[in-house]
Amino acid sequence: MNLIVFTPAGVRSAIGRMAALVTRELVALGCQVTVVRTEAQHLLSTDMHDFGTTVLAWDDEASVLALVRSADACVYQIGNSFEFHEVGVRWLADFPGLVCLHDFFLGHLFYGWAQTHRVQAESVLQNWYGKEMAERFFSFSDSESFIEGTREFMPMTEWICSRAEGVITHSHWGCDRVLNSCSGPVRVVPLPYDAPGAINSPFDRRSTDGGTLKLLTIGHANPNKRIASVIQAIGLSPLLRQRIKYRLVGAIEPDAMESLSALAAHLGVNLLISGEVDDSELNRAVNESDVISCIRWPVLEAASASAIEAMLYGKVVIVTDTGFYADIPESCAIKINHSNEIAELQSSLISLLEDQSRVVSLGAAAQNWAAKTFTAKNYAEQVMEIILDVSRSAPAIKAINYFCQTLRQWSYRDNPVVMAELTHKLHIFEQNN
Amino acid sequence: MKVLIVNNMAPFVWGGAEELAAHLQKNLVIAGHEAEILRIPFQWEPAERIPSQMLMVRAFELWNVDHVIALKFPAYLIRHPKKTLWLLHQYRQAYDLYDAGQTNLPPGQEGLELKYLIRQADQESFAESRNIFTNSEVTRQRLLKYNGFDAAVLLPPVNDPELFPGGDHGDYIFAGGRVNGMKRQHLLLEGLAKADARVKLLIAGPPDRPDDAARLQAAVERLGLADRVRLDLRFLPRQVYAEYVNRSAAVAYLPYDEDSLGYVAMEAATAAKALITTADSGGILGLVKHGETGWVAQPKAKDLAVVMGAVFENSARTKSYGQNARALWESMKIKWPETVETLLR
Repeated sequence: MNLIVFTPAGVRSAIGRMAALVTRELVALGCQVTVVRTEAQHLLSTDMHDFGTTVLAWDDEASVLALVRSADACVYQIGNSFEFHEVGVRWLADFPGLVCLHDFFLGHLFYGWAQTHRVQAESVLQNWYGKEMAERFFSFSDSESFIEGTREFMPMTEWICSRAEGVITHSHWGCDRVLNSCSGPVRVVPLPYDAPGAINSPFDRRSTDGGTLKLLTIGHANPNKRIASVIQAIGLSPLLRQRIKYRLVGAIEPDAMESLSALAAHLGVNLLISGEVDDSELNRAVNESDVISCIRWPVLEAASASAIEAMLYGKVVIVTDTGFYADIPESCAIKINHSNEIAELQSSLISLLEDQSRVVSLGAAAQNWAAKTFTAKNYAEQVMEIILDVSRSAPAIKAINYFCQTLRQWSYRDNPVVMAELTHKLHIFEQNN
Repeated sequence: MKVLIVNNMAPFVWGGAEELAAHLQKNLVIAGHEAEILRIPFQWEPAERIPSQMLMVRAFELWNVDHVIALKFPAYLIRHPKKTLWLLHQYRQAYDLYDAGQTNLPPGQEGLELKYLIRQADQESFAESRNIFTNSEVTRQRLLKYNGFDAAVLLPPVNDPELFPGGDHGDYIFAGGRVNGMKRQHLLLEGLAKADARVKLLIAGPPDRPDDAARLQAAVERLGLADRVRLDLRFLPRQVYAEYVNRSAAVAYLPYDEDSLGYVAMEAATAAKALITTADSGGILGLVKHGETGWVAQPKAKDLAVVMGAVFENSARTKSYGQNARALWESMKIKWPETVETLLR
């Protein structure tokens, strides 16, 4: 199978890391794979993950075009970052293929794309969400209100999925929108990830600090990671204040650093803010931790690489009980209800301190389950299978599109009665998919 | 040249359009072409299912065909780079019959949208056609009025003119063709009841429905016409039909607002028979000129009684009307070789 994989490839990209794992497996399974980097032009020269195959920059358009035309299929890794995925969106429009959907919420990607495709963007919004919603999309004043105002009713999932010939997503959450918009096959496949920096198993854990728990949050310290809630949960309990060391690793803006530090100081929380670190320091931080907080609100991603990675390291993960995280077995994670976030965080951490054997058992169960579930081999095999499914369903979809396009030319608007009569007949094609 | 004639079909129904397609095929072959007929099933009830049938036709892909001649809606929606329309029928229920309130399209918005859809599809198909001909002036005018396309009229020739040499001036008026309410054979019976007792009538042809035959039989009974009327209500062999025409004194044909000249009238003119029709019969009036090729009556029993009587009052005049009808028909120069050539232009 001759495949072209469009993906961000730089080492900053978690999607790139996952794509590299899968690409290497696809090559191992006998596929001929070429990777096309999709980052914005100024990022094309940054260091890359190891894909084990040829990687082209998207701006070598003649070479990419020649490859695409001779390929069996194009695979697009799509997430919410405009900077990383703008080019993927552009090529997807001209050469539809399989989309590996990393975020259900694609509002930022769409917003970025809309800056140069405003008329088309308004038409997409109206088509999927109606006129009234479409008028609101561009009216938000800041990122937080934009996410809050769009994530539920205008996540833009449908925009990308309707352009895809097939979709792989990474959790069942949000699948209704995918199924409703993608005319081709859809599969839920666990996101593959690895933990090359893991140096010990949960069973090796020795408390070196008199029963202290080391709690870690990884990644850009934005409000979505609920860091302030974690600080409050610790700060409001004398036991936790005394025995929890909370560390943040990842980029952080000065304002956030100031406010979180002030909050921690005010509540007497032992907080260490490490900022952005290199891979080896990150590995060390993960290895040294006991518990990793993966709580999020709102939940926007189709799967969480950091939660998977934490489980692969054999760490206890605390997650918000929704979205992808809800699919994790109860025995492998501590789940928190967002509506009672601080209180539940607090009681969960106290419970871990009171029975530290659970830190070992939960971590071991998570590691065992994650190692079996989030494998690149499984993902690569499923990519190959769904590409075959796409090739089977494509003629039927083409026929349906032909009929609908013809009918649209003849109609001045969708007629519910006529459409119902026709769509009933077109189901014959779907049954063959 | 490989020519494909595209027409609708209703299984086990055979009428004028089917005859025309068959004879067009025959005459294309005579002209040295390869010709086949593609018949596409079409059912207009319920109307909500018309669009899916239109889409089906639109999706067909033709290959190994040099030229398409399409005859009817929705068969003419078929795509081909060299498509000529010889328009026998648009879907009148979306045009003049819609405006007249005689449509099968559902009432209200739903019907309005179906009408729009049919008209848009027609528009697209007409625009992509190489040439458009109509089978009558009425059809041409309708096309011009509703769709803005100015077609040429190409009247269909008589399919087998050799069967209609004419013959003895018989003692009956012949009313041939399909039997139904729109063709108004019952009106002839009512006229006959009021006409001179010498007048006899032969009504022959296939009833559309059993009710149509029963209605005529009941009228004969009710009006006491058994000794002056013969009903031969069946699909007639061509020879039998031709003999009925050739031996008649005159031929009556009174459809309501027919689009074309009508095969019955054309065949009668070929056989040099005087013609009787009514003022509201549409395209037939192209051949029936009152006092020249026959009689044009008002569609009332009393008026019809007068003209039916006139047929036998002066047989020399009736014969001369017949000769005039043949001369008018021949002056139209409607022959198959020229028709084929025009269609392939």
